[in-house]
Amino acid sequence: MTGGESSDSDLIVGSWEESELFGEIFERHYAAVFGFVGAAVGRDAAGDIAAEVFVRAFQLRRRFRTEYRSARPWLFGIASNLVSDHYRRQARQHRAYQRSVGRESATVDFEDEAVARSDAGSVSDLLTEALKSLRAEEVAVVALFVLEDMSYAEISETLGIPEGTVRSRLSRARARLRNLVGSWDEQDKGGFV
Amino acid sequence: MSNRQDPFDRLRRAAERPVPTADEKSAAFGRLQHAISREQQMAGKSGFKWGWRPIAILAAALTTLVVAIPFFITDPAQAALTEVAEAARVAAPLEVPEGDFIYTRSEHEDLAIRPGSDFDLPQDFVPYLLPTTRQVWRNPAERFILIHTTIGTPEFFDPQTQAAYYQAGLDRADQVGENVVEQFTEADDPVIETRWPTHPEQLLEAMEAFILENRDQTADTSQIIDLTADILRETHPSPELRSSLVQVLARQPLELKGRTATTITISHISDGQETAITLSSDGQLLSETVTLLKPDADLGLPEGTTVGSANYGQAQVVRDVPHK
Repeated sequence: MTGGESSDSDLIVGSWEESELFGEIFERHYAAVFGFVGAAVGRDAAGDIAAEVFVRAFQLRRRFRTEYRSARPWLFGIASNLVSDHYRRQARQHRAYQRSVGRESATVDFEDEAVARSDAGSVSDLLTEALKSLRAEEVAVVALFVLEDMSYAEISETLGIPEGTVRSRLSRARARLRNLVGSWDEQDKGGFV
Repeated sequence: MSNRQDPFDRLRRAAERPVPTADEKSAAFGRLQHAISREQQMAGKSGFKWGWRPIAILAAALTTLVVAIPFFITDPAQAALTEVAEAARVAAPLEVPEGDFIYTRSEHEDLAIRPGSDFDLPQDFVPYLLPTTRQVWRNPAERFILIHTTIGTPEFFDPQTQAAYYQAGLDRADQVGENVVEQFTEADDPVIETRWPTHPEQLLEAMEAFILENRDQTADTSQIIDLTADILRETHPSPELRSSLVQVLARQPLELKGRTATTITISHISDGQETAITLSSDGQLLSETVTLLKPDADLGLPEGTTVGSANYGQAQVVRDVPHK
């Protein structure tokens, strides 16, 4: 079996026995995955996450639904979940281990505050700023909707969540982003009204 | 829906897709190759077929393999964990007579963060370390749990913060020096309530499903380590389950950070921090630490700061509790 003539599905099934074949999946999709992740989290973090996408995909390759010929939506599903985790971890890093001691502790609502704090002026890219303002479960949905132009049904399929959940998450995210984007537009016009 | 009003359209226009450099691509491919190599090592030589061999020969080969596996595995963490898993499997179970309690004591030091306004300081957020001692008495049959948490004296990264902390009376808010008593019956902890399978592959699948349902959107190595530690810490697992948990760890991309005659320490790096756990030679959880591998500019924490640590004493069976 040679990579150039085979579908992604064939390669992945082949890699169950000959794991090196998965390298061809990497060759075909790495640049696209890197671009998607980079747009969502910024260039600095993109390399690590994009690499992790392929390691995770390799480890989970037996779960790939072989009726699909292209692996790209599946890879974007993994990537968008890792993007969500990235934003979640930025907050979690500051929450630091509270769960292991079982104390609610004196530390207010870390996730919200840490996310808000990381927004403050350090991020130039509008998309990453917007994604930071979202709840973690909304990030993957918005990333696929905005960056991949996926339909509700495609996002539902890619992330394995009900289509109604996709709709409600996008709706909440849209409402949350409206004010933020409005403030950019005001800035674009030269100042706040 | 007009483009001017839909924030998603605005974001689409703003999105820029970077192109990977050759170095970035090479590094990513190296990580994939490492994962492929690890799997091949775990599986022996891929493509080897066992099906036609007589069952007796297979059983004999497997027995030999179990004994010899640490010598075949070239990854140091995997080899060490495989030995620990075997020791855990044959360890004596913790017997709890009816009416008795499993008692554990642990020492923790965790990063606490408060808004700077709490301290009357200009920073947005101020970190400090808050030590606690946690004593837990658990009666599995009666589903009874008693927890005593004693809050120790905080440690600060600079004297100004320390002075402001006490000036603002935050020691009272943190209950410093106090013993907080919590008692539960019919406690509903999903980690404890789950009936974890003892076959390593089934256990890994169950853990991944648990993480996806209860904790995160991906069951990555960090999450697997967290959950393994939770199960080891909270459920006092049987030798079979403890062995399988260690085997699950052996399948993760971990580094062997240290080893003595009675302990091994393995670590995992993710998102700029290193999580390390130390196990006894028969798979008991002894300690956990989380260390920053790069500075946290927002909190002013330098590289190398330990932002969480815990040390666990050995579980004991006791007849009584201080309060019930």
